[in-house]
Amino acid sequence: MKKVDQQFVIYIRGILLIGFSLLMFKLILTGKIIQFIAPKMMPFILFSSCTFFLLGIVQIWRSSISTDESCECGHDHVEKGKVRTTLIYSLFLLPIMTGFLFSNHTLDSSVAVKRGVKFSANVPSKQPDQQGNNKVKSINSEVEEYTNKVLAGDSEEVPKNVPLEHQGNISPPKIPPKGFYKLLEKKLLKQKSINVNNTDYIPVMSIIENNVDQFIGKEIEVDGFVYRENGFRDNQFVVARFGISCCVADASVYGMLSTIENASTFKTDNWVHIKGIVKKATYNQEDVPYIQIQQIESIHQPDNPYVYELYQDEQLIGPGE
Amino acid sequence: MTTITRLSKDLIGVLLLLLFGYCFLFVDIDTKDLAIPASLLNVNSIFLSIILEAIPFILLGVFASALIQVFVSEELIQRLIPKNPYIALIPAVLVSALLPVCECAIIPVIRRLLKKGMPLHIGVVILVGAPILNPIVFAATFYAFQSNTSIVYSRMGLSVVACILIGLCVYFFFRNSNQLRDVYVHEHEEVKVGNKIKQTLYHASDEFFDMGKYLLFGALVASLFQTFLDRQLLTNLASNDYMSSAVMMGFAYVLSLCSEADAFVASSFSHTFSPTALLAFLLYGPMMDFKNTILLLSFFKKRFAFSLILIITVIVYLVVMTYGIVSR
Repeated sequence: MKKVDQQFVIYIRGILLIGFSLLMFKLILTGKIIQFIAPKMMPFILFSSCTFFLLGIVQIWRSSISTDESCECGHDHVEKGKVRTTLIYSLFLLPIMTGFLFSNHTLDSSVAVKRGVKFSANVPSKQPDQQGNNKVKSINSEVEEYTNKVLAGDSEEVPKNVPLEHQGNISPPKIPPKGFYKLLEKKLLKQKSINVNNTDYIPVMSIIENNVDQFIGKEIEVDGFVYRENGFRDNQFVVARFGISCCVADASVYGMLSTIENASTFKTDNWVHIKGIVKKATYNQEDVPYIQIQQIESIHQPDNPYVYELYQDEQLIGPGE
Repeated sequence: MTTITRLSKDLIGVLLLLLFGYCFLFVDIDTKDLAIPASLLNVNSIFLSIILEAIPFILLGVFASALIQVFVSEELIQRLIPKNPYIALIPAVLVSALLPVCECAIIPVIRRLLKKGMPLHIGVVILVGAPILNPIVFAATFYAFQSNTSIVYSRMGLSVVACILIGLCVYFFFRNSNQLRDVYVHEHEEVKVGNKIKQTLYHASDEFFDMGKYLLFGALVASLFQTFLDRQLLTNLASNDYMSSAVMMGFAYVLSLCSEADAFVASSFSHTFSPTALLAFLLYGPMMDFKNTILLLSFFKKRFAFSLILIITVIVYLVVMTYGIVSR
């Protein structure tokens, strides 16, 4: 008879649950968990780690008592056939073991090549839908006009001569929850040099990419890995980062095109810290910002190479706010 | 003889525990120089991240389903759902809009509700609606498409339309037949009061393993696609709206992203694909993807699962194409 011993299956399940729980717990303890999922998911992982441990203990205890008591449902939750059972439970063992052994790996540029870089994060600059396009463009130019005026006035306050309906026009489409982008944009426009840190990497890059013209000539400092696409010139590469919203599966590549004379000395996937000037270029018929590198140095891969989308549930979380 | 097998089985368990314990305590997680190709490690990273991301939500779904099992009676469901099958679609859509759950968590809940006598087409509406029509997904989409909010509202509006059409279709073809797999038609009639917590815990882990094996397989295949599928290829395939919408739906299917995250991936395509194609991606992904298919097969009869996939695919495509033509 090929019937699988149910008690044994329950026992093994209990052990596997404890295995999962230990893996998650270790990832949390070592901080490696953020190489798989965004920090905002942390409470969920903690919850499942504890629950699994509890469930595992209960399962092992359940397997040690007699069959009649263990399940009253009369059907079997277990699989038929020894080979199949073994295969299925090996499948559960697989992530636990690879998790323990190989979890220090972070995505490299071979994945980036397959995904393509987000040169300009949010605003569709070349959009097939004509109507939507015009709308966005006109709003953008209004925003630019407005910001330029504010800049010319060199003050944070709205100049009195700006008509009131102007304000009404620009607010709705540009303002994400809580107006964080607008505040940040204002702050950045006032700075002469911008140091892009890990926390607000994605918002800062999006703002620069969406308002290239206003950032031309500003000094910028940023870290990232060297990434190249087919068709890049010899002096070009992208200083790129993987940006994550929930888990590594949804990672997108963010980055800015950069130019330097001896670009080829910096190998793809190497990490660099660059300092340069923002300029504008055309790539694939799109206006994109690029950085003319003035200083470059190789650095070690940061402890956490990923950057994260700054939003949680329904609101943006601003760094340090 | 029996004692020997018993002993060897215990030994396997103890060895496994020791292995996990050893890995937990002594394996240095920072080691990097393992002779394994980077592409395999990429697959592994994505595989693990899909699992780690899905596990909490499956657990939550499993517990919610256990709570429904204990606290929601069949009579209550009968009373809450309008008798008229068409009118009943309205509360179903409202419920999907209120439940902030993603596609992993909803499956055990729906399975339980169907067992409790919820009409099939109502269950299906919530199954496909809840992952899109919820506040968290709305916020994520809004954030990803800040500069093109029409996508956000179209996504929500079109998914309501698609959900209702899917519900109608399912009602038309299947009425209220039982499409759950036979293994699961049993009910746990009477449970001793003191045993409820114990039973809930037993069931939580049973259900986790029931779904888990499908999840693992789905995650494995999805991570292969994630690593090796060249996204530039999609652009070449998409010559017009009809084609590109289909391509994006296929893409959503193989990626198997969480509905909370897919808007960000979609926004990375906003240069190369029309809003219509992006909407096809945003609508289809949460309703149906590779991981979901496998999970659906774990509790629906095969014939129904495949019909459902077909219905969802056709309706989403038609809805999106109609929108594309109207909005042009």
